[in-house]
Amino acid sequence: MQHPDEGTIHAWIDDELPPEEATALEAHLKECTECSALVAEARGLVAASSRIVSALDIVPGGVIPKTTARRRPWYASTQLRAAAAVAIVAGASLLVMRDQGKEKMERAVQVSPMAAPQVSPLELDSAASRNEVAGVIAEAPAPVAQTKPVKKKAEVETRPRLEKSAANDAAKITSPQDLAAPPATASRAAADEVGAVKPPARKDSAQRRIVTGDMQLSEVVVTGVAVAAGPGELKKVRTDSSTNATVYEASPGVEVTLFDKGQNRPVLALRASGTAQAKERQAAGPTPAAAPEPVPAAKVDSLSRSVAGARLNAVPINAISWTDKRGHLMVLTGRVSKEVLEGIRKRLPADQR
Amino acid sequence: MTDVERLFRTYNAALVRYLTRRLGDRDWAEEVAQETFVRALRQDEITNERAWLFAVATNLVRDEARKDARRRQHLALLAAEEREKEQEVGPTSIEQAQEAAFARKAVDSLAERDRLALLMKEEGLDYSEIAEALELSPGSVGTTLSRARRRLVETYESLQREREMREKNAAS
Repeated sequence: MQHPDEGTIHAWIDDELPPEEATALEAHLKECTECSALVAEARGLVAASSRIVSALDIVPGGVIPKTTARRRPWYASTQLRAAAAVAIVAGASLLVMRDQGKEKMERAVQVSPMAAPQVSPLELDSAASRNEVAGVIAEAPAPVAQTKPVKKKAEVETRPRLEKSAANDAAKITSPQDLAAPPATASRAAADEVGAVKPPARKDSAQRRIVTGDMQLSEVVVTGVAVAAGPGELKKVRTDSSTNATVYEASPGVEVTLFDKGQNRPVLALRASGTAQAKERQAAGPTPAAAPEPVPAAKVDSLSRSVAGARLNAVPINAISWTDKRGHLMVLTGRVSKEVLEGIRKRLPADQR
Repeated sequence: MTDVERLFRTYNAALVRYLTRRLGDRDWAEEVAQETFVRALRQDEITNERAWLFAVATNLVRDEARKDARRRQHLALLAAEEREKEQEVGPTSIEQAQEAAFARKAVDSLAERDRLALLMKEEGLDYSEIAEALELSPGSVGTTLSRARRRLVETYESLQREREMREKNAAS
């Protein structure tokens, strides 16, 4: 066999030579060192070519890269940009939230609050949340209502102000951070939702104490299912002097309980919520200024039970609040629609509406 | 699975890689590859799928090259913008970038037919497929490839030597 040309050698390396040609070439290579050297070189070229062609893929997108990798200046780093963007947005939001929160709070003080927290059935899904609901019902002053339209946002918006009021707040309150924490479970979510109701309530109560020094808190709890509230006087079912509660029957099956919590009720107590805090307050004893007893823990428990019982009904617990003609804060809650609550309110004694 | 789907799944990666290596532009390469598969849809019968696809893709590139150069410039600009975003993803060492730049230069230095034959070989096409795609005689593929490889490696090595010389001069 003659010395093979380079193309034949490459074809042989690529395993593309017909069998008889390949056999002849292999025989020749055993004798010809010159050709063996060519084969060795060709193998090197094949391998090197593959490597060079692969190097084309190094740059994503196959761009022709610059001779040296272009380095971005430190301020152009993606992470830094992202961090800066987050910081700017966070800062701006905080400013906006602060302003909004301030505005809302101021409005809440000026206008007598009429709205009420809307407690959905979901929120009653855990015992914890039930207690929380009860706590709010039993202890939160009327401005609880104010939180309804604000809802979850309120907890963020009011935080800066809450922190301010916390300075003269001796009571242990749930920290705003806790309230803002993302809910891990449904029940936690419920607790948070209810919890979200509290900060503005505490805030408002504090504000209101300043505005009207001898405010009296009254509270009305509605149980049972309300039929469309008709005209006429509410029927007084019973009164409980130990808790200053008056129970009315709004309509067949619908009971309304009025808690008279008296005047000069300590603001700090209003900030507490739940059974534990209620007990704590009892242990501390009423301050001389606080005329009637705060709602005892037992009452709170029974409240939570009634709330839990009402859970069977589809209507969520609603609440409305207002300041009556005597200047008392009134909260009307129950597993009835807000319209029905408003109807019941109209049928209360004239000075309590 | 339709036939085109099968074709796409089987050959798209290799075709895009081949075209990217050929064009130096991933977006353009994908465009051409897609167009190639669209053409395959219209084709009644394809005897050698791989050879056919690579031939059509190669012709599309050639046709494209004849078209409005400005349009391509615009596309290249858009692709560059895209890559600007992408580039952050994987850190490319200076050595690697250098290597890629030399590889690009070396590949570009080849004659078109040699370059295409080599890139097709690297995608696993055999000699008969390369011959069919490039309308070569099967016997000349070995010669074409040997020429391409030698030229490629020599150009690449000379680029490296040049750089080493420059670095030496810069150091002294």
